[in-house]
Amino acid sequence: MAQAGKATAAKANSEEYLRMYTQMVRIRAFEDQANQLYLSAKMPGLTHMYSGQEAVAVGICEALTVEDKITSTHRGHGHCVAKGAAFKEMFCELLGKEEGYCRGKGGSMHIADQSNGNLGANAIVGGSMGIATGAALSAKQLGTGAVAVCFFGDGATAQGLMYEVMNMAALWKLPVIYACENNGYSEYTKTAEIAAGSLTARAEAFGIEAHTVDGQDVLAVNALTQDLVARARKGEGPFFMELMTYRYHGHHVGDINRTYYRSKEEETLWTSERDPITRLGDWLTQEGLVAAADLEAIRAEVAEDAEAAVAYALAAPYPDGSEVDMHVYAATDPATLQPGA
Amino acid sequence: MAKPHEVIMPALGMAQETGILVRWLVEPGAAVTKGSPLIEVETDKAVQEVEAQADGFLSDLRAGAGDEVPVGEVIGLIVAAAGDVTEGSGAAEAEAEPATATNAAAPNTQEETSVSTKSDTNIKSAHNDAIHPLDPSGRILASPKLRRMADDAGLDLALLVAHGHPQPYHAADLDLLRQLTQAAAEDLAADLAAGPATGPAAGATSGPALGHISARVPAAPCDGFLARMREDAGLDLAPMALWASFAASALRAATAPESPLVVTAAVLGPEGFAPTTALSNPDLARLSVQPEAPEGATPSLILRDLTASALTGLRPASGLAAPALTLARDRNGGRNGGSDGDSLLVALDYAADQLDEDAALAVITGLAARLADPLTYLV
Amino acid sequence: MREITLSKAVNEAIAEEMRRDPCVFVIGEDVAEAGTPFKVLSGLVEEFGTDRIIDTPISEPGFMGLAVGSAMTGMRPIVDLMFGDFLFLVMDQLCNQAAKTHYMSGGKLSVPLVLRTNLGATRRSAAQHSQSLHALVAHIPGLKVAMPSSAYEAKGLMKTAIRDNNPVVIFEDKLMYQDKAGVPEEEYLIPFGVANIKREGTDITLIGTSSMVQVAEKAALILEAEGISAEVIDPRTIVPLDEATLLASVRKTSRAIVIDEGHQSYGITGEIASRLNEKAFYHLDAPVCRMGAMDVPVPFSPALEDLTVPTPEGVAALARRLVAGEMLHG
Repeated sequence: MAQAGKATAAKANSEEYLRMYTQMVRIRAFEDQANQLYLSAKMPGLTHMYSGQEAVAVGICEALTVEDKITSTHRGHGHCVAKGAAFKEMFCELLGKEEGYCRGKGGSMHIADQSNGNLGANAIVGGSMGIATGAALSAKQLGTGAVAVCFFGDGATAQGLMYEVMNMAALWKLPVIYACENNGYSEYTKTAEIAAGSLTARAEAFGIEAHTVDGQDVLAVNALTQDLVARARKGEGPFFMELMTYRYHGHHVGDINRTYYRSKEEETLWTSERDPITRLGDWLTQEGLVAAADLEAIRAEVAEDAEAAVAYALAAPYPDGSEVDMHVYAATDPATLQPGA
Repeated sequence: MAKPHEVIMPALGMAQETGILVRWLVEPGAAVTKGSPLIEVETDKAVQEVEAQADGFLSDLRAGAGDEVPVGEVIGLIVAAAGDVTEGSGAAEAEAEPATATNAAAPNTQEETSVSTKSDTNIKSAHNDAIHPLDPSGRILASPKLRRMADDAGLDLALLVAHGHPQPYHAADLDLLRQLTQAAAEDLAADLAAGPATGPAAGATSGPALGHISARVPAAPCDGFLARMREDAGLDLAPMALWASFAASALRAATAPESPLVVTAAVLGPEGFAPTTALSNPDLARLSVQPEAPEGATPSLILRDLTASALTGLRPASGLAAPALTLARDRNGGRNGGSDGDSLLVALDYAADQLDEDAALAVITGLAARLADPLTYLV
Repeated sequence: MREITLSKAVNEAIAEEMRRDPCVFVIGEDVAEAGTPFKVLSGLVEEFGTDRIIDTPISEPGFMGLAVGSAMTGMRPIVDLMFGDFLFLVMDQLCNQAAKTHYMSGGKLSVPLVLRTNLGATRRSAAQHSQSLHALVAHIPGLKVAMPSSAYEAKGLMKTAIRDNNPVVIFEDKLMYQDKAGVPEEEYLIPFGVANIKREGTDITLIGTSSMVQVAEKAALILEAEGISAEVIDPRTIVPLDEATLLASVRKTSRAIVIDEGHQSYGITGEIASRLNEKAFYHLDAPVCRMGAMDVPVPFSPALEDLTVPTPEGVAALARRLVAGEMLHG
């Protein structure tokens, strides 16, 4: 992971590393709580756990500013937390409560956090690729220097839309980074059985520079992202990243009996030997940057925060029935619809 | 780990409300590691192994093999130390969890309720269709606009039907309807102004003045109805059954009597009036089964059927025991010498102390409407 | 008042709005130098440049998706969909993404975009280039649907569409691009949800959309010669729909025919007729009738194609029967 020459630089970046550690722990804690909420029948609908993929969301989002935009997927809690969302509003949204980020109208699969640049999770596989690319188009047209990151899974590479937008992004050199979270499975099928050829070659076919990185190594992910983001801001985009990662849980929360498509041995390998949080934690203590007790303290505090947020959300009120037909249409200031306005 | 970890019956599907605990995979009191299989659960989809979510010792079992448990309910605990292990009741207990589980289940119940309400509505409307079937030959076809306008003006569309005006009716027919209503009122006034019959009958009459109202309706509707009853339903109804039913119905609508209506019915045949029968509430009984009134019952209405003869009218010579209705047939010699163009002549004779003018008019008008449109009034 | 073509009217509207607001841009196939195959956008790229009049590859889902993302992040795109028939290609991005974003985000994200496309048959373009599919999008909550019936409406409605903060689909009748109408020099906008009574009458209300307004007007002339007075109304926007004007008219005339170029079944005519039935029932002296395009894919042969759309003679014939009180169905 880190080379000797980077040791000094590492020490200087301790705060950043701790932040990354905390964010990953936060995602893990959030997902554990969300999983429990679902299993104990307290959370309506369906949800998809991000546990195991924390380094991808955190490594990437830590290289972005609040002005940069991301689009997310149905497995979107990790991206949401990583881009700066708070536990309370997230749990409220998952439970359909009024204080949720979307006033309870989006739920797990459509959670969006506009103030932090999260344009939303999407229940349509690949459905947000156009949106991310469009956000990059805006950034270019408005000259903001912002970039857009499109998160999607290996399964989404089967959607035609991906190729249409990568084509246009490449033609117009849009500041968008396509981040493919390759967790080895598209629902209940191995990636190799649904994606012919190479994923990165798909991007390269459009002349888009593509990189593959160990998605469980948050520092590697972060370093790569920082480099690509800087270049994208200068107009050298778009870029494609393939992040090799793993989801610990099933495709969705009810997918418990998975041995027919995924062996227990494989799962144990990833959870015990390739856990991104453990890896960063071990590295930090080995490098003498943080004491193990401090990491433990972070985990304990985050766990408490999560539990408190869940309790809050469970007790929080639902939106009033009168909101059901609100927000179908956005208001337009009538003054703007006059001649000469 | 001070607080024991609760083992819950997990929700494995979106609409799942309960799961069956097939069996515990670990003995009570035994050590448990996070991630190791703890229970087998059966849903309507399959039997699944569910892993323990914490390290510790299995304690306080509240559900046993084969129990069906609501999702979200606590079925056991994982305690930190072996010494904390306690016996459970072994059976599913009501705890804090079920309240939330019920909440979670509630939305489903609400959905079900609203679904069943919808199907109730469907049943109701289907039922209504059964009571009032859309019968092309029974119902008066008129536009919503005309119906409303007629309603507002207190006019009866039956007058258009009785007049033989072709359906469907529209707003443009309102003027005609007004004229017909006006004419009917004028006829009545003229009849009343003419006064009781003069001559010997008049001199011999004792008691209060007699009123007389007459009407003419096409015979075809009733002829057709009786013919269909014969041909399609195999019912050979005597016309008198129809007259008695309609007359009683019209009288009831006009006077709202408290006691049963008794109609004395007599048909004029070649030998004279056949024996009179007294019928009780003939409008409330089936046409084929006319209930006889008890001996000596006071008649509410005297009904005389002249249609089998050439007579067109008959006024009572002596005082009336009750209002008297006569029906006669005016043979018009229709197409092919048939009876298509025939009319029924209806006349009502009554004493002022038996019916007031309004009631008398209502009786004759009501009877005329029924004779002109039998199916509507029999349904 | 000067008269200009519908094509010129649309061009003017877009140009004016692009001058007014630098966030407005056009994206679609052959919109720049070519000005679209119908030449409606000719001249715009010369004034605004290729950064704001953007030619795309043939990627309808792709550039529709881009437009959605762009609209969500500060821009106001006008998506040019060459033929209304291609609506099917953009449905996910339009109906699952654009239409629902404001609602799903609890009102925090908006999608102020315009999807500009066309409808209309009788151009011998056959089944996949002749459809009138506005009913599909009218059915989706979150979208607005505008249907200009002349150059005047085209300009006024397009300007409102661009300024509206919602996804608006605007359908122009491709047969009308060269038709002229009076269009003021001074700036004007036509508000959504306000119908236009094009001709007053007392015996029957004829409600038409897009070019069917002209069909209704011609029918009204035929009927006038026979002593039947027809009122002709152009709703202008299907969503939102100016029900009040339509209902007031039907309460006055007590008869109505709804004429639209979408298919007769399960379309616009059914929706409008249904509302009139529900809300003006006690004023109806005749059943509210629908006249849509025949429920067949549009045939190529001229001998067949022209049979599939409502005509002034057809409308007049039906109106005649309704006014006479004829019972159309037993």
